[in-house]
Amino acid sequence: MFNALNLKQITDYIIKISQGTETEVLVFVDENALTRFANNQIHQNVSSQNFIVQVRVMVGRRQGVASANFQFSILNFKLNAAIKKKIEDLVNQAYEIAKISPEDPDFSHLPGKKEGIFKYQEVDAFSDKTAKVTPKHRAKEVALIIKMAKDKNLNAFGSLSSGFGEIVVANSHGVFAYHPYTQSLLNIRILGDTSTGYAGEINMDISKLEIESAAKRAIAKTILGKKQSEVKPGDFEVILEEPAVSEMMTYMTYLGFGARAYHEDRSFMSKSLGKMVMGENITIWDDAYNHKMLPMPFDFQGVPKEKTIIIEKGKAKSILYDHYLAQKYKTKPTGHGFPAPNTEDAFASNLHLMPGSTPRSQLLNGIKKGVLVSRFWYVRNVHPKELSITGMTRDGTFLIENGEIVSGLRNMRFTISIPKILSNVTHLSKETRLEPSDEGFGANLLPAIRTAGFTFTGVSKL
Amino acid sequence: MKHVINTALDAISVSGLDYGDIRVVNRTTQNLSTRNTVVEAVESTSSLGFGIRVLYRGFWGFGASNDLSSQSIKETAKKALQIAKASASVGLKKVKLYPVKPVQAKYQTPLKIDPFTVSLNTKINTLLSCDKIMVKVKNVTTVQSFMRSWREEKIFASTEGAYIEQILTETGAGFDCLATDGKEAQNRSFPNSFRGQFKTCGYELLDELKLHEHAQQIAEEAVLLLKAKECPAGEFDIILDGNQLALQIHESCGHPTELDRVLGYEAAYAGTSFMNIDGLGKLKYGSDIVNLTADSITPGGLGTFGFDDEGVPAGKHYLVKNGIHVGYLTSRETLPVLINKVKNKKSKAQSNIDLTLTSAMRADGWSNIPLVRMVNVSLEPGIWKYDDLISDTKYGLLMSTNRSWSIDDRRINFQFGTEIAYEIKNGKKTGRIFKNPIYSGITPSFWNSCDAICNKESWTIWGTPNCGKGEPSQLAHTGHGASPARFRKVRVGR
Repeated sequence: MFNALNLKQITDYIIKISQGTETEVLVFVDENALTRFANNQIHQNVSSQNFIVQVRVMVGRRQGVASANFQFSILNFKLNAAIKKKIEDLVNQAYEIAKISPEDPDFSHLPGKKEGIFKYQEVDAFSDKTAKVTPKHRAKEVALIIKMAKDKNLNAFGSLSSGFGEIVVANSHGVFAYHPYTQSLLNIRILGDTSTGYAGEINMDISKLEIESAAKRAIAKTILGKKQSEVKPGDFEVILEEPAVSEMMTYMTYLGFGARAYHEDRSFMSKSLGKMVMGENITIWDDAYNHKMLPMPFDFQGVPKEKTIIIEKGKAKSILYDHYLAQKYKTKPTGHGFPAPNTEDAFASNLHLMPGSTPRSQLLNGIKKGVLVSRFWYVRNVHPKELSITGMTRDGTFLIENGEIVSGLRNMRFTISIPKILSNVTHLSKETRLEPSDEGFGANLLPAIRTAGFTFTGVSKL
Repeated sequence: MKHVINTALDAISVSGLDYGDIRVVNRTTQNLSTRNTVVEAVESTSSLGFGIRVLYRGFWGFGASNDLSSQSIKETAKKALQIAKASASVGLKKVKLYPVKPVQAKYQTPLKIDPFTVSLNTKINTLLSCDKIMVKVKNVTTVQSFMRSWREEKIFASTEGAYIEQILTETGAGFDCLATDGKEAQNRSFPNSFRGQFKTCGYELLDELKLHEHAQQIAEEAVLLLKAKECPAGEFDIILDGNQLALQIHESCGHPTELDRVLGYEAAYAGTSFMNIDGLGKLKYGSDIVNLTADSITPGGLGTFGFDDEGVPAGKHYLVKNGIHVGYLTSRETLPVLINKVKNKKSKAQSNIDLTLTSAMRADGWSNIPLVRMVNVSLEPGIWKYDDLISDTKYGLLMSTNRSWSIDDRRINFQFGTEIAYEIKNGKKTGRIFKNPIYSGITPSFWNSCDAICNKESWTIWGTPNCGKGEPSQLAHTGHGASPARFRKVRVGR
């Protein structure tokens, strides 16, 4: 770890030498390792470390951004003449870009100029166990998964990763935000002759990954799906398990919750604030302070993250703003900014879907004929404003008859509108599960759901 | 960089080492984008570091670092060896590498105008001129223009004696626009969606693209789509424009012929493949006119280079020849496995298959291991003139510019959406357009329905700079040559 004081030496130096009217510095330090397994053995096993500095220099309303990685590590950290020279070159590069860039009339100032110094809530996002984990430890955990698969004559595939990092956002208005974090991620896919099963886990603390339980889940799915049947495409009542629900949530924030999409009339929420956009039993919010998740108290522009209720009892309640979009649309930022220059939108990375009251094991009760979907695959947007997506089911699609799973199903293609599907939800499980975001950033905490009118358009052949 | 290379090779030269290599990579990029006549991003990035890959007693380890000091190189080498030992503890089969003649060589992307020497003002004005044309069109609410310059300088050295220096340069540019009328939102892009066209070349690409000459027409099409009818559903003959066909090739031929996927290495993430080894030399992948190649030599392709990241020289190979699946994208690790499996199943049909290295091992920067990736996976041009193909089509839909793509994890069940479909009736484009076109199918059935491919005059090598694969996730830059082609009786609509 470099720690806040060491990293502040760099940000202070940059802010000091910058000729811009305002200057922002981001520092990303990380060290990650990943053990990958296939066909019941480790086949790839890697580690890497990096140290990146990104500088945003403003000259009035003109912006320039430059980033570079630096050739030092904790083994070798000195702000010596060579490093200072590289920093100076980087800052000058951003300054030169800013000088010749046209003015952005929507830019007013960097965070902190008018708001004063931000106070950040303390969060515990760092686990020593995760930071210190060895390749031997990861191999031991993988060996357990493989043994469990082999014992059932199945093949295990997947990965176990661990990493730690430090993020700093600082600017010339006195903003200095420092966030040390760890993350561990487990991905298991079990393959049988006719069926597959998946389980994923994410946690900042590797010792809290329920590896054995995840392997059991993936194996159980594979065994349950062994006997396969087929249904004709059409509309079905479905149970969507947490990985599938998580993917819908990520798509909603990617295409629908951000201020840019909203104001450019590209979002399903555009012109609908205060109106019903999905069922009354749906409440969605973003809360980066939930210690069960991967907490982070500020966004990549140094703005404190706000707990934001986006959908409340089916009504569109609020949208997400980064600092720039908040200035442009004359409102307050919600702390959902990406690093500048952000050509996308404000983005939520700690989404919650309010659970219901149905025990997870009882979601099937009363379904005459339906489909249980464990997970989506290769989801793509078909119509942004309708928030229509297409994709395939994967790793456990099951036929439900009279409240029971009767067989596995071949993977099926679906095309659905997410708001429509969330308008038809009849049951939400009372249990929730933390799922990694499909975009690879953050995690979502959510229940499994039961909904109707889910359109399957095709069945996988061969 | 000699000291970095030598320190690394010395540090991994331990008893039990089968093979080792080091790659030192320095990547620089410049990204520009404008939105509604305002410059949204001017960003310059650079990343320098090294990755050490070791094969120790038959098992892999890899370590990478940004810190090029001797101490860090030694520590990283030590870590790579420790990781390989951990791999061995859960290993079954030892890796055997296909032999490669180690070479000392240099390669550089040929270019006329170095994109990093063109002034920012020139680049920004090029983009703003497109924005200004599009934003004037009524009902066009958001316009964006993009440009990217990319360069990778890399050195590859191995314990076998290879030492290869390469400088690869890419240029890309394009624009898109969104039209809305309060109810409907439709977008159009040029020359391709997802930020345009990308090639290994210099700034001369901009002369070729002539962006601003197309801005007015593209913006007007976006507006016309607002009032256009929904694309009809049913079975239709469709002609895929080259830019859409490029992605079709990428998803339904490029990925399933990656040999690591076929062997299950990607099963937990990117998926597997329906093009299994039993079908090599036998699978009727497409109609007789379908010839798909993997090459790393076509000028301008994003998969064009001198050597891959294992030191294998660039070349050209058939994946599908006269409609038959004949080859895979291979690596030094996977090719011996393939040869071994094929050897045990010798048959007449397999006499035409390609069992060679295809220079397809590519890593995303210095911090990742090389994986089997696409190079330029292309559809060879056919014999049809474009106008003749239109004239020969009684009723059909010409679909252009990808909007959405989705395919199952074995790469067989796909659905693509395009930005626009043009109606063809009695051999002529009627002038009618349809919104939200979608087509779907099963990969071999679809390619077997291909009955006409346009000739070299209409053939373009398209760039895909964002192909994801692997854990940790890596992005590769791949090329796909294609000319418009016709497919019979394809399912259109949701």
